[in-house]
Amino acid sequence: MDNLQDRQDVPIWNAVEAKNYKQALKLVDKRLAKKPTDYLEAVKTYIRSLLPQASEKSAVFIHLEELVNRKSSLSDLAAIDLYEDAFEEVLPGARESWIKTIGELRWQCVKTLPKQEDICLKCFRACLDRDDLDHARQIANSLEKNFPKSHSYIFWNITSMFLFASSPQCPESQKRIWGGLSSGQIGKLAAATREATDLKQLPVRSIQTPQELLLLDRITETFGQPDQRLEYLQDLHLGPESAVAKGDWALWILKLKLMREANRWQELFDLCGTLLKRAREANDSNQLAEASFSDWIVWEAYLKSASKLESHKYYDQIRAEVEAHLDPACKIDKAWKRNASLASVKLTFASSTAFSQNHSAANGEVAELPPRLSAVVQYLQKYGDANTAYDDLRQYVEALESNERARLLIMLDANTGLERPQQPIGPSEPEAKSKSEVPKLSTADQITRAINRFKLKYLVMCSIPEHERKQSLEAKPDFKCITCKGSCGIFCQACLEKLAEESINSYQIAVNDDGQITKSLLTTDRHPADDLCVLTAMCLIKLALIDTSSVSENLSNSRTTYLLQATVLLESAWPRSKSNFQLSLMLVRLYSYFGCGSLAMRAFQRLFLKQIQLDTLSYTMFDRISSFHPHPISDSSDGPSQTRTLIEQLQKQQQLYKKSREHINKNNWLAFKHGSYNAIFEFREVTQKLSHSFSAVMSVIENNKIHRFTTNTVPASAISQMHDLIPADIDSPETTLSDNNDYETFPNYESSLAPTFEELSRFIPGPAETRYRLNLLSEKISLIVDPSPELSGEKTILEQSLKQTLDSQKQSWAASSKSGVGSKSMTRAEQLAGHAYRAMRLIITESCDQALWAKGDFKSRLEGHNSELRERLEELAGLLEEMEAVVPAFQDTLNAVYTAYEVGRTAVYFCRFLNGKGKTVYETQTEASKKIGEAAERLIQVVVEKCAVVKKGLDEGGWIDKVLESVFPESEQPGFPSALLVEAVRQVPDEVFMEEWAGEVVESWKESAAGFSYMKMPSKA
Amino acid sequence: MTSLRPFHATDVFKFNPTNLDPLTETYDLNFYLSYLARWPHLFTIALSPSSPSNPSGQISAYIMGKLESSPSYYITSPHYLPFHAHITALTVSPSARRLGLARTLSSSLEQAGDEYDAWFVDLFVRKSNLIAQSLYKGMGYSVFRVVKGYYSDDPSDPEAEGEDAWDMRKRLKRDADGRHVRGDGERFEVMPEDVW
Repeated sequence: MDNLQDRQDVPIWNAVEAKNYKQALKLVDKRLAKKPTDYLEAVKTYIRSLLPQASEKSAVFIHLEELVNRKSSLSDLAAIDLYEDAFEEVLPGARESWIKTIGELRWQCVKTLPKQEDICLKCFRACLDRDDLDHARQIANSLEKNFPKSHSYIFWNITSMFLFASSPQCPESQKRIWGGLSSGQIGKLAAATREATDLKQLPVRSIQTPQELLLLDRITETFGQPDQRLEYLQDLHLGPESAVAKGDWALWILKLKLMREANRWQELFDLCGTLLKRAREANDSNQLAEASFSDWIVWEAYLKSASKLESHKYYDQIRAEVEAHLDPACKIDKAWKRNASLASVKLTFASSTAFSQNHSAANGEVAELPPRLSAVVQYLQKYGDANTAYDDLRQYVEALESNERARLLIMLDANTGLERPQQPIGPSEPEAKSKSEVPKLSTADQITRAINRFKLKYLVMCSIPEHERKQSLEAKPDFKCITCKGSCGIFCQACLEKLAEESINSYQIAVNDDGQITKSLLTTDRHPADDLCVLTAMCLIKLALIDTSSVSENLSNSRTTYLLQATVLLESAWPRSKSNFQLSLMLVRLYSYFGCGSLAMRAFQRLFLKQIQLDTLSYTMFDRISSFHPHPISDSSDGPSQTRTLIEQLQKQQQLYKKSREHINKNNWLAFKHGSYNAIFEFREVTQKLSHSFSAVMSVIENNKIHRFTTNTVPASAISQMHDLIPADIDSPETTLSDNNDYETFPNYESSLAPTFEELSRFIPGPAETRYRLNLLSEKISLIVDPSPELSGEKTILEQSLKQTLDSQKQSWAASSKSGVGSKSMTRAEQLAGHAYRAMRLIITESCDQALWAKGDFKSRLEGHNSELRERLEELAGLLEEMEAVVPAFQDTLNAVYTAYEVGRTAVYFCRFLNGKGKTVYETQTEASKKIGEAAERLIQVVVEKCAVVKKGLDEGGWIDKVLESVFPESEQPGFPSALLVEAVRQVPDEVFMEEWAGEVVESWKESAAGFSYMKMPSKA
Repeated sequence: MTSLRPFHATDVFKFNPTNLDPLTETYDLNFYLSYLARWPHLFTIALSPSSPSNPSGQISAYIMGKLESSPSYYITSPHYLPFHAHITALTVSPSARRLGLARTLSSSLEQAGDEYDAWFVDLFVRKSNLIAQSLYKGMGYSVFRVVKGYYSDDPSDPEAEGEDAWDMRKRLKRDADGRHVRGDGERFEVMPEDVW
């Protein structure tokens, strides 16, 4: 009844609510006969749109098109709203058509009633919501013209013009027109502000707020002159110091950036010097109101400009500023003081001279060190008890010469000279040395210092040399480790073991503190020593990567031993640090490697992801879930949320994408209303990222695959769901997907020049656009050949889409086929399946295209596609047959088995699909399909046999003992952990924990294997 | 190092280092965007050092704030709030704690409050969150009133039905006489419905 306009309409709406549309139409016709109005016409159209017949829906759309071309414009907004509702019933989500019909109606309405502000605003908002930027632009222009006293509408018009000019909706030929106009108009407003005599009473047509200044910069960047941006920011009335800017820090950031880009080094140097001085000077109220000028970007710009000016006098000035900041009399916040300390490190590296004689004089030993090393050590002394010290220093340690790094390592190893200067230090003093051997780890500060020391050791001993060795790998396959002098590969086993052992020993000391720290921790806290455990796990994971040998048993190789040890340590650290998400992230990865789906899910659930995190972190568990653990997870040890099925979880993620559109639209409007123009452009970026998200594609694909696997079909809404969440322009070669995944939250202590630990520890290729695109293709094919009758109506559209995109992608395919498509982004099984799906696509599109049959080489081409498909299916069967270490089934086995089954089953349906087409398919295809069918059935047979081997193997007893033996091998063997390391790891978990945990691992393997029961030969058609 | 910049809408894709912590709530997109749409200058983040893999640096803390007053129809109410700045959320990632970032970020909001001529900055903190209370007290905030049962849960006691909030304030330049702060606010109790 929301649309009720007249009491006499009540019976009509009652009939609509009762879904008695026939009666409603009768009633509306009666009313129309008496008194025809636009509103009643719209009501009638709306009722017709609710009717299920396609003919009615089509008639509604034709009526809407006619309305647009009618001579007299609609001025009843309620009628337009109803037409919009009718449109939604007929063509939900069809933006282009909306623009041509409803968008046009709204604009015509505004043209008819330009002075009706409320109507204009509603129409403007509706156009914005639909991303109908051209009509929004025209309405904003009308608002500005008809309400000249409104300051906002001037900016709405400019913003709308710029939005339109920057969007793909704007024809190329018009981009410069609208962009130029927006630039010209805002330029005039900037001039008015510049020329204003009274800044407290600026004219309506002028720039008055920081957001307007940011809009000026944004538009000038795209459509203005290159130097104009900086010119504006240098202006007294428009720059960051102007009254209009209200101290907005974003403008300072822009100004500093543009000055750097313009190479205005002297000016920049002077400006930074002034800002830093102001930062530490108190105002009349004795407050440091401008302390934020000590931001790191100011220090960086200061140092950069000094390096460009190439004179020591500039460095001297910086040195003086650092000293002034660090002067105990300077009361600036410690966050800013830390910047000054770090600037002193950077300064030393930049100038390569000793920074401050006075500073090192306070610490005799440090004074003897080379200046750059001395700077690092001094910083460490001062801030070693801060968690961020390692991140702050990493790039400087990397820049040290190898002999300097060697000296640093000696200090780190001996733990001397790294404490605060007032504490007694000195490697030559026997007493001090004995103290350093047993580091005190009873307070958070002491533990953090130890952690920073270990991380730096890891950097110097392992990560930097590994990166260097990797760079020269081709020239020299065997290396001599610069640290331990032993022979090694990329990773040095001796160094990693040594560090792992030391680190875990320290962790053990820190957590066994008689409850001093542990007992005082809240449930939401994390133990300060956690990073020691994480670092050990990292070393163990790297040690595991050394072993690339293939063995016949999964649990009897060193890789498994190291990885199980890493898992045990992280899992035993978790109970005292339940909020430590880095532990959980690493555990998800490790359990996934081991094929323990339920345990991986348990660790994943501990992250408690919600809202936007479902887009950025779902990949950690759900990427490839259909080829890892496609069946429901029965483990429910971590509470009720665990009982949610995989499909429900993926659908929850999909809800995020649907809701986010609504949220963004709502706030776009709010941003216009509040004059937050810069935010409008940021919101567009978010829209783009979410609508093209890797994770959104992943959720659709995995959801369908799981559904198909567990129920043998997909829901009837599968195709519309795909259209709803996958961008319409996905097949265009210009479209790229957006990788919004968060890889940075993983712990990472690697050299900044090397791959991150997240990358290093990928046991299976990570998310990649190539794979997602291929998955989309395979999904389309699976839907086309799906025997389920519910999908038949929409299959034709999918077939057409396969054909349409074939030509645009042919070239890139040809190139990628030769180079081995996705070899880096896919497993071997996925690559083979990918080739098979591509062959299926070519066969579907070409064998049914009679226009191609007459071409000379058609028969041989088709034969080629069929051979390709058959051979890839056979190759996959061969790959499975060759796999030896399959009990228990780790991730690689599960991936191969499920991928092979899926492609095999699709190929069987593919053959039936083509057979069902009768004579519309090329004559030789029937015979070819038969052979393909045989190959596919054989592949499924191999899959089933392999699964039986895994199940049988797991049914045998003794797995818990085997796990325990693998974690703690009894005898030392080459390539396996040393006895010392095994002993150090053994100290962390107690026996009860170990037995329980090993039991969980074995149960999880059995639970994973339960999914095999879903894999059966498709029943005969 | 410490570097501040305005929160960008796309930062929602990168704020896991702060938001995976159980004490930081992750709201729906609408919540963050509505703050950016209305008070973009009061939503600030602190960044940690950049690296080649993460050139923009990692988010180590952020503050969400707003500037507002109670609606005009509320003006006769004893609980009417004049134009003031409010700290909606202030969070520091576990790896960036004890570095003074909370102080730095709240100072930035106080400065903006002064710039826009607000009377005071206020915030709500759980009665049990002694660490935060001591931080704010150290920065010049004092308790203005206690809001009984403001929070529907109590993280330290799953059995408890709810928890009180302390409404803490710090006066800004405009409140030269200290009209909007109290030295003994712990004695003034109000109900959640009194808080606008």
